[in-house]
Parts: sequence; structure tokens; C-alpha cells
Amino acid sequence: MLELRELSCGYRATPVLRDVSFTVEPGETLCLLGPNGVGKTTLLRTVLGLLKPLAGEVRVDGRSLSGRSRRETARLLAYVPQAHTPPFPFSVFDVVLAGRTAHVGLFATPAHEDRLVAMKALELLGIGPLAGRPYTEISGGERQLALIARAVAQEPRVLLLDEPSSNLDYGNQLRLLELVRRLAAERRLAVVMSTHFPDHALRCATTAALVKDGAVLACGPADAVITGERLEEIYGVPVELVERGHNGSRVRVCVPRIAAHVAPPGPDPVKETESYVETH
Amino acid sequence: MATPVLEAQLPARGLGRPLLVALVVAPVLAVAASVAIGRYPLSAADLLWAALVGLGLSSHELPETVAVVVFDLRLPRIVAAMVAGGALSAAGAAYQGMFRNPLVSPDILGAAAGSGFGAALGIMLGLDVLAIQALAFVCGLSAVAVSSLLASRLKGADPMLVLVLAGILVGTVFTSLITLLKYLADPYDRLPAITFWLMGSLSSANRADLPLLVVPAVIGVVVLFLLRGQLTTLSFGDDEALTLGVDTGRVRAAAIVAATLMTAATVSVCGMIGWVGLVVPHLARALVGPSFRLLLPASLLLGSTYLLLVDDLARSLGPLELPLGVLTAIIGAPCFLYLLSRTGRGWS
Repeated sequence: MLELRELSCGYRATPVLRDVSFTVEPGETLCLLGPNGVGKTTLLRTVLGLLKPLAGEVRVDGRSLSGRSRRETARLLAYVPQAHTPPFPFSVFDVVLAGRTAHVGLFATPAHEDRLVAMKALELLGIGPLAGRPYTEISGGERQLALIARAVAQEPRVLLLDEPSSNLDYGNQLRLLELVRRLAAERRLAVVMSTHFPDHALRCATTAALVKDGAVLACGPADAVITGERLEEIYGVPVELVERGHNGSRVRVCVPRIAAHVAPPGPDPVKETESYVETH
Repeated sequence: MATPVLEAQLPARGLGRPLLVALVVAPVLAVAASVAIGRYPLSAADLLWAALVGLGLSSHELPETVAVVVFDLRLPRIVAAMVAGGALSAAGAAYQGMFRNPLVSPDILGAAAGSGFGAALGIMLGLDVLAIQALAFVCGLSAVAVSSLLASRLKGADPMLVLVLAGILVGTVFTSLITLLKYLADPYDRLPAITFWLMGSLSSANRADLPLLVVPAVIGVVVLFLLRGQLTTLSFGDDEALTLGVDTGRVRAAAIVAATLMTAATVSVCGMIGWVGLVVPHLARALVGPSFRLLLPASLLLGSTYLLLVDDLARSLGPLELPLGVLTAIIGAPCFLYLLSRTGRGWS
């Protein structure tokens, strides 16, 4: 269970987000929604301990994270960053195996059991055949899956994902969301995921936290909290929520209300040219 | 539960048999060849008896000259070359992983420049050999200490970059001081000594030098070996290593101390030998991969063999012995280019 208590985060005493409080129970997924630059990544980094909180605290399973060693924290929290390229050609298996570092002795290297855990994580994510390939030679989507496998191999209690679907194609995005939802449920993980797409939150989140202007606008059950008005407030575009039914289940999707050919604000090029010709 | 299917899919853990054998046999062959190479001709019988006596398997009376050549001249030099080559390569591998940059060498933090300055100063002051080496060692350690102190004062976004910049700064200052010392040195006596020393040489390596070289090098290797798992994870990047459970500050500090011990010890006894710590880790990484569990031993074995063979060349290529540092650069640079062109894939 992850609990944030009035957490303020930012750089060098300038708060980016203030008084963030929410709780994520095992099996739940919380989506962080907000515009670019609002501080979603800063919040995640502060929860992980990469940044010092400016105020408030983070608790996992009732105990505060401050004062815990890196190894202890890593056994509780796992991070899936946005995919990147490491400078050395590690194999995909090596990348996932690095997730076992917190469980391996300080002066030791991963043992046979650790290697099995890593392999199982690869299989769970469906990328077992990629194990021997160099990480640098697989696609962005496959790298994202490898990073998630690494987090799974870490066997944490809480999983933090930073915009995991950013580099994925449409099909992979949907598959990833389903995977995250399943992981949270099957492994009883508390999952926090930041995302740019409200549709993603509607698909896989139990809870949603909407963030704007340095504070949490609303936080609660995803279906209740994500409304057209709120999304318009955050993103500045008019949005409608539409419900569709399929095979007995209902799903809500966002439909933007911008007309297809609205002229952008600014001088009308046709009128400008005419007036220019007339005056010259 | 581990099913047989899962087990079967696990990638191989160690090295293939041929590579493993090659890595272990190469140094042994190199040692055997190196004992035989030299100005004083040794017959096969001499070599055989010397080996048996050396291993304690025989009490045969060796001719005086053979004993002196093998045990007092060549073997100490062989040991020095292997320890220096292995130490520089291991330090280079550790630094390349830590700084996540394949172009980094062990003197990036100023250890070599500092040691060079200490040695030049010792020669200027007319100290005896052991004192010169001790002064070089201390100055090498101090240079890295100054770099680290500087880096901790400069608050930058990327601690690694700040450390490298501080190291380059300190290295440049010490190199300039060396040049100043050369300018002030007596051109008939001290200057040639300083210049010769700076070019790197094992020609004066004898038994008395070995402890100063071997003890810090062994300490350094042991520390790096103990931290091999943590170093591997550290090479994924600072933030990721932190979230994966590595105490990056402490591991990095320990690795820098270890690598500095190894580099300063090598430079103090053998002079400036460059390109070994840069080239050998690349070759080792191309053979066994970037994980330190395999990369460290491979760097040690390859580095010791490489420097031993280059030193053999240095003392047998011509009538005059060639400076080791010059030879490692002349051989090392083309090797590096070749390695770059072959294994260029996979670097960011």
C-alpha cells in the first residue's frame, strides 16, 4: 500500500506540486493526469526518493520511507522510466536481471534463483524470445516491456510507471494498459502511472488524480473524477465523455468537441491579402 | 516453481569453453614466452630447470647467470608487467562502467598526472628510487582527492560530468607543473631522467619495487571484485541504479578509491603507461559482454597478457630498449580504432 501525506515536491525549495495526498491499495491502479510540465515526473521521482520532498512524507505499508536504505526502498518500490538507451550493449536478459539487485547480497551476483525470477518476468511480459538480444537493438515498445519486466523481477509492493505508453503504437498501448491492470490485480501491487491520455486512465485505472497548477484538482474513483468539465479545465480543450457498451461491459471514452475546420485565431490570410492589394 | 521449460530458456551463464580456455591459457603462454625472450640466450634445458627449481620441484643447481637472469631480472619484470597491465585494465573497465562512457581511461581523474608530477619532483630533489615512487604514489592519490573535493563543491546537475571536468582540470594543472619542472631541471642529468621516467618503462623493475606495485593493486582488484554486482547495476545510470537499490554514492566512492590505488601504484613504479586502460576493457567487453562479473576477470587476464607481450616487444625489438609508454600508444591507438569499427554498434 502506498500513501502520500501532504507531499510537496520540487527543486531547490521551489515547490512544483503542493500537498499531494492519496492512497493506493494493493491491486489498485492510480493514474496521474495532468498537462505537460505540471510535475508528474517530479512527483514520481520524489516518491522514489530521487528527490528530497519539500514537505510531507511517503509511506509504504504504514511505515515512512525516509531513513530507509536504498536496498529496502528498492524492495518496496519499483520504477519503470521512459525507455532510453544504455551506453553498453547489455542483453535484454541482463537488463531484467538488474531488477534483482536489491535482493542479491552486496558483494554477490545474481544466483540461479534470481535468474529464474528474471526469466519468468520476461515470459510474463511475453518477450521471452528476446532474452538474448542486445537491448540496444530492439524496438522502443519492446524496450518498454523489458523495463516493466525488470520492475516485475524486482518483486516490489508498489509499481511506479512514468508515461509508459508514450513510445508505443496504438495496439501496444492498449495491450500495455491491460497488462498493467492484470499485474496490479494478480500480484497485488499498488500501481501509480502517469499518463497524458485520459482514455488510458478510463481503461485501466481504479483511481485517478488530476493535477493542475501545482495542486491536485481532484482525486478519487476514476469514473467519478474524470468528467468533461474537469478535463477541459486541465487541458484547455472541450471534451465530452461518451459511454459505449460492448458484450455487457460499458466503457467510457473521451471525445473532443473541437470542430474539424475551425479557423485558428489570428488574422484571416484571405482578408489580409485583399486589403494589402487594395492599399498598394 | 522452476519448470524444465523455463530452465532450458535461461541464457548461458558463463563463457563458452573455447573462450574460457583461451583467456586462461594466454597469460601462461605469455609468461613462458617472456622468460625465454631477452638479450641473454637461455636454452630450453635452462628454462626447464629454472621452472622446476622455481616451482620447488627440484633442487638442481642452476648456473649463477641463469638464476640471476630468470629470477632477479626477468621474473620480477614479468610480474610487474602483468600486475600493471591487469590493474590498469581493471581500473579502466570500472571507470568506463561508472562514467557510462567507453572513452574514459583510468587517468581521467588526474591520478596519472599527479603521480607523474610526484615522480618528477622526486627526481628533481635527487631522492632515491623508493622515495621517488612513494612520492609519486602519494601525489597520485592527492590529485584524485582534489578532483573529488572540487567536484563535491561544484553543484552540477550531473555529478559524473562534474567529476570528470574536475579531473580534467586537476590533470591539466599537474601536467603543466610537470612541464614547469622539466623546464627548471638540469638539462644534463635531471631532465633526461624525468623524461625517461615519464615515457614509462619496466627496465628497472626489480624485486624491491614489487610490493609498492602489487599491494595497492591487489587491494584495488579485491574491492572492485567485491563490488562487481553493484558496479554492473551502476552502469545503467545513476537514477536507475538508485531505484534498483544501489547506494550509488558509496559504491562510486569505493570504486574510485580502488581504481586510484591501482593507477597511482602502476604509474609510480612503471611511469606513464597509457592506452592500456582504454583499449583492453573494450576488447574484453567485446569478448565477454558488459557485465562486471565476467568483464573484471577478463580485463585482468587480457590486460596482463597484453602489457607483458608489449613489454617483450619493448625489450627485444631493437638494440635499444623502447619506452613502454610509447609502444603502448603506437600499438594501442590503431587497436582501438579497429575495435571501434568492429564493435561500434550498441553505443549511445
